[in-house]
Amino acid sequence: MPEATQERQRRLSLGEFSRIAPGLYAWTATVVLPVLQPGVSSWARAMAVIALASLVASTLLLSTRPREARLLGVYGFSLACLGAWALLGQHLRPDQLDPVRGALGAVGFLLHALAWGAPPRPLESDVSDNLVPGAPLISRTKPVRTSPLALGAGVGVAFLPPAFAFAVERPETSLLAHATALGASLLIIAAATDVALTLGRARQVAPWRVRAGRAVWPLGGLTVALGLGLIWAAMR
Amino acid sequence: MSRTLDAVALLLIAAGGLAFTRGVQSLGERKDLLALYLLLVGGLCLKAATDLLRPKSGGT
Repeated sequence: MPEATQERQRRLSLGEFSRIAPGLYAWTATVVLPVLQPGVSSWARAMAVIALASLVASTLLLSTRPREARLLGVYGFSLACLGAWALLGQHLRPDQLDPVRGALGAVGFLLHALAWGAPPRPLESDVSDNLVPGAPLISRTKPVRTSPLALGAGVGVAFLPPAFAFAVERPETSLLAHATALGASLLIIAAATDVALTLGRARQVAPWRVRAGRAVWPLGGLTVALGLGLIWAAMR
Repeated sequence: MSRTLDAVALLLIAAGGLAFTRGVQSLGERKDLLALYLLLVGGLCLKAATDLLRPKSGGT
């Protein structure tokens, strides 16, 4: 078998697995465990088995009949999961739900939806990663080593405000704290992305005096704010 | 000097993140004025960090 065909089949297998893996996880976390409780009706268990069968069948059909595979993977699987939950009856009570497992299952279903969002790749498609035909395009700027570090640091710092928002216990401000923290995280990630993308380019574009001149207003505002804060702290 | 400005930009992002975090904490401690102040400082830090690096159209 030619090497290109082997590579194509390897990619297809990987793509098929990555398409069903989130659904399999969500099914395990949110369907299997509830239906295995004692006293659950056999109809609910049957629906759970149908959900799994839909997922497996969608994988088998993906390369030959993508339309049917999609119907089974998206609609068949989701409806069977819904049926299993509906048939759980009194076994599906809020006080019996594990919030962590439920949250992880919700993430699994979200990833399942995203996995099925992309159309399947046809078997005869090119294995090349180039979206634009022809020779690979040359980037205009050379990425520097510090760019991923800057982005990584920004993403790391962006996790802090939402984490601390969970510590806000006042009911009247907890929602505001979460909203503020989410907005702050988005701002931090946006700023870190800007910095990461322009780190290599900035030195070629403008000398440091020009760059410092551009930031005069925010830096001045920051200085004034810090000065006022010091005065405020001293007066208290 | 340019490398120093890069480092300052990174420090400003970190400072902005910490200011936002402390601001959110202050909200929970019933220090609303301090929270607003820290959120303003965080915003200014991020604005300064991006303006230090962002090339403007028509500039140099």
